[in-house]
Amino acid sequence: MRRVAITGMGAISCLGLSTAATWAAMVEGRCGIGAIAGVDGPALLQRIAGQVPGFDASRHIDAKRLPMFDRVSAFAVVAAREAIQQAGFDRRCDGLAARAAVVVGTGVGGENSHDQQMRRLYGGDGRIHPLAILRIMASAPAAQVSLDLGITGPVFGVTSACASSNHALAQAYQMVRLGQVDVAIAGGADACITYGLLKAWEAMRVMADDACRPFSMHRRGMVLAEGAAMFVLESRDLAEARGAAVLAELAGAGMSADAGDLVMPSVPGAAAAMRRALDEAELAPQEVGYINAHGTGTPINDVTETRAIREVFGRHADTLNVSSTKSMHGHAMGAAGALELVATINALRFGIIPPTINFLGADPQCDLDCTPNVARHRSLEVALSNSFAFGGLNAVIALRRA
Amino acid sequence: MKDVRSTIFCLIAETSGVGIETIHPDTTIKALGVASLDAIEMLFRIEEIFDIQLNDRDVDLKSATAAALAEAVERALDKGSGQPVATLAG
Repeated sequence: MRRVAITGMGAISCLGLSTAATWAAMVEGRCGIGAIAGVDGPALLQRIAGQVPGFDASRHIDAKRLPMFDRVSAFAVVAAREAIQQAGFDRRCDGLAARAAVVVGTGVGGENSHDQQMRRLYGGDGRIHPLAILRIMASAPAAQVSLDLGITGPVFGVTSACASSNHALAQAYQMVRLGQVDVAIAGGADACITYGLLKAWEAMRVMADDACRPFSMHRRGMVLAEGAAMFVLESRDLAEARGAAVLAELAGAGMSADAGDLVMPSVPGAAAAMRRALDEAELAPQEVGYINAHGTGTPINDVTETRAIREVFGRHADTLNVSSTKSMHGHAMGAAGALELVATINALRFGIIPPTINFLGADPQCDLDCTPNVARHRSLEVALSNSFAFGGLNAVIALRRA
Repeated sequence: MKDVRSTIFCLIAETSGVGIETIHPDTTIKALGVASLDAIEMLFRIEEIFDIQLNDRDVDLKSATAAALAEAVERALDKGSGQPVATLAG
């Protein structure tokens, strides 16, 4: 089995249009969530979201190709370009072609196009644009990245709602680990802030109307967001042979399903995913210093996740730093795990734990150190990034410092 | 407004699978063991029947009693022009 290095990353979030901007905001504890702009409709109760500010796809995508792009695919392509540039590959990925893979997680695919086209069909001129399918399909972000970088190996989308990114990264990791490819471009993207989806989330009654405040008292739920983050995974040997700087080692990926309830999270399911990630990485729980939590800010998730962490880590849980960066970038659905991996990788690189902001005080049922409000210095060797999705679908990534 | 209360009590009984006589004003939805998805579906049905919108801050499913839910619906009806648009039978 080969060891898997992460050598590049790119991000677009409500915190900024690059990993540098996104990370700087996380360290400052700045919130990217604000009043929803450009989306309105009758009786929209949800007034806040994490929208990517000032993203203009036409500045990045060739005018001839642009009609085939939904916002989600443009996010994925721009983030992938940033990632390969950091990894030291050229715009066509150094001609890796069939020796590379692309795996992109997404919760809802081309939701903006879907919303637009359905409005047109049911309330407009009754027509649908001929390229609608190509914009909407959930595999479009992966396909567009492969076209953009000239990658001809395994290319596909992965979907598991809020855990899509981590499931995608797990697939990419396995392909590199097993030697099926030398390099994989993987991550997640979602552009899901439409009137239709906001109303659908509202109807589920899990949304906060004030702020996302995971693990805190007075938390009211999650806040929807959009964005993308993409990574370059490659065999450690190749990275070293190329002289590429290794950002972190992707040491393990643990997946599990609750097979219980479609929405209520389970302690055993979440704990199993964390344990499998550690087992695969051949790490003991005591080696972990930081967990980037799923931490949605719903009353139930944060309690269940706390219990699952306690179950896996025992007394060591009291020495862990935990944080939910969703408090700053919101819940970016299929992009969530990928944006949180940016936070986790940089926590390892720089020895800085990004905080859980909007924290008003401890909930006795969430009795972990969730790094409230202010970033903290801590030298780290190993970190986990948790994602737990509706459907009871769990995926956890284990990282080792480079 | 008595109709509102009896409709709400009836819906709670139906959702929780108990007889209407079990539902008292201070019965909580949680105590009846209503699963969260069933509870939000019930709220959706109430919104449809009365043509209202119940904000999350109007109804806290964790602690709401049958009477509090009926009162929240009455307040929403007072606020808007909503009228029952369907009957339970329909």
